[in-house]
Amino acid sequence: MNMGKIVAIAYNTFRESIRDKILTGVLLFVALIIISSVATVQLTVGQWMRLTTDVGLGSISLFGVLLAVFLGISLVFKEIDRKTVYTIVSKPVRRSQFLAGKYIGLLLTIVVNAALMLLVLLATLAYVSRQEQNPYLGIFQAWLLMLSEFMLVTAVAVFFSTFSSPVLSAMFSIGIWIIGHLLSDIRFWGEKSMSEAVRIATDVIYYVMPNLELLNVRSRVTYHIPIGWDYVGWTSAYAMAYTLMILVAAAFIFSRRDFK
Amino acid sequence: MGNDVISIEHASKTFRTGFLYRKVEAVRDVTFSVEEGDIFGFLGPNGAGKTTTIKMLMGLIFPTGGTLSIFGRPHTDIASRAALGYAPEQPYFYEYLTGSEFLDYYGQLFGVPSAERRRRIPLLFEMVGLRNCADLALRRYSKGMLQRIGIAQALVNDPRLLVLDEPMSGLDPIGRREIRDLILALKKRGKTIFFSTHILPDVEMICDRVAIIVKGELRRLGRIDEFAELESEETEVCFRGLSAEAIGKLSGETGAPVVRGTLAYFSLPSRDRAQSFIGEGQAGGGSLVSLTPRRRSLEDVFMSEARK
Repeated sequence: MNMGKIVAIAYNTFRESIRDKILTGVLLFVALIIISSVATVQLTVGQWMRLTTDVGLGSISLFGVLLAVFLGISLVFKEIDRKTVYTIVSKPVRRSQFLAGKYIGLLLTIVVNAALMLLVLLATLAYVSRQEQNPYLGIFQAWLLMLSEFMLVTAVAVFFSTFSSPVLSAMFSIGIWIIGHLLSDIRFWGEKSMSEAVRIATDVIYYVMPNLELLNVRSRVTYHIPIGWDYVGWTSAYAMAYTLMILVAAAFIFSRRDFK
Repeated sequence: MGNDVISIEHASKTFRTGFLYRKVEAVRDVTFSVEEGDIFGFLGPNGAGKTTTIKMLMGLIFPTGGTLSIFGRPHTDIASRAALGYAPEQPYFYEYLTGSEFLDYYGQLFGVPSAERRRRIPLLFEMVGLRNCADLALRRYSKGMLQRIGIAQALVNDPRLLVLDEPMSGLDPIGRREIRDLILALKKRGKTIFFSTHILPDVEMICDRVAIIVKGELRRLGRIDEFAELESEETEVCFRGLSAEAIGKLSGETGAPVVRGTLAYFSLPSRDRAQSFIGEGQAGGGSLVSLTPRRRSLEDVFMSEARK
């Protein structure tokens, strides 16, 4: 596989996202939320470090996922809608190379955005922390796991966008994201159910859907509970394997579709 | 044939559309080939299947039947596209890129080395008449300019074969002429050009071979000068100063002439009769002004095929 072509497509996707003003808007909005939490903590007695960390990580996570979904679903759709894909796949470029390049470029955009959001959070914490102990390591680990979640959610959005409309793709992707965070609850409801069918269905969902809650360690960071690097490593590997599987399926579908 | 750069055999494409998944046959059993060095015109009215055929060839849609090959390789083999340039109809490109960023990106997709890209891109702007537009964002390009940069991107790999879908659409008469001249210049450099169009005078002027497709079926194929209908026996004879009596006598054979001042234009159905007809006219007091063999245009052939 020619990496030069994938790199060219990835760079162009990244350049498109950077020149798109939406990202700047999202970044400013998140910065505003994180910084405004400083104003809020002035009104609370103690706990302000905890509150800022919680609001900051929560904002990065939420806006990162929204970026992943909405950029992910528009990724393939926009190329087909504007017919730019015609001039790409008629060149000596495999459709899977095109998809890989677009995905990598998009992921790079999301990582850069998440890194900038992290910097805003760390700067804010440095400002409010003064003598309190900073949970910087935990925040960094939580951020790495968030990146794994963005990676997976982007792949899910790209997968749906290879064969479905943007609205449906957004619904499916957000649906999977919500289910992915509620898997333990879903299984618990299944076990409590009287119906065998419901039990089987919840079991299937539990084993097939990605368990995104594994990638959420925000509350542990907020309460200063240490997170081991082995946990970060294994859960990231889990997300990566899942992502790869979804991307292979997306490439399979994309390679067989007609561009009418 | 050995020197076919494009070969399409029994290609068919059926789409399923609408809620009921109704079958629509866009292209049915189309067979033709394009030889190296030719300018090949692919003609047909709107909705005839021209773009569908081109999209099948470019690997954008998959045929439901038949085989297509480029440079002797199956069209799905991406190696077949290394020496191919394609400009789609109504091109929309990455509007956030400048003209030169865009061509540079596409050059990279062909694996053109960066030094070669730097050398070639300014030449391409020059070639398609977009001098001084290299640093302009594509969102500021007019429709005609986009059409031109569409052709420039198809040339970025210096291809042996150029496939152009409606390259003249969206261009004014000057632009059309420039593109026509560009196509002829590329042929001189040994390129093969396959293009679809419905602008027939251009085709007649520059194409070596044409194919006419109507309602998804190939109706005509061949060199333009081989089309039998283009040759006509009809001959126009023009006299000056014929008397009304002589006009009445001559028009018995040809039907009423077109009379403009002292000139009378007769349309003779057969060329064999020209000699004696001229004699009769001169005997009637007229002097011969012109004798013109009538030739049907490609448009006549096209229209008669489209109406069938």
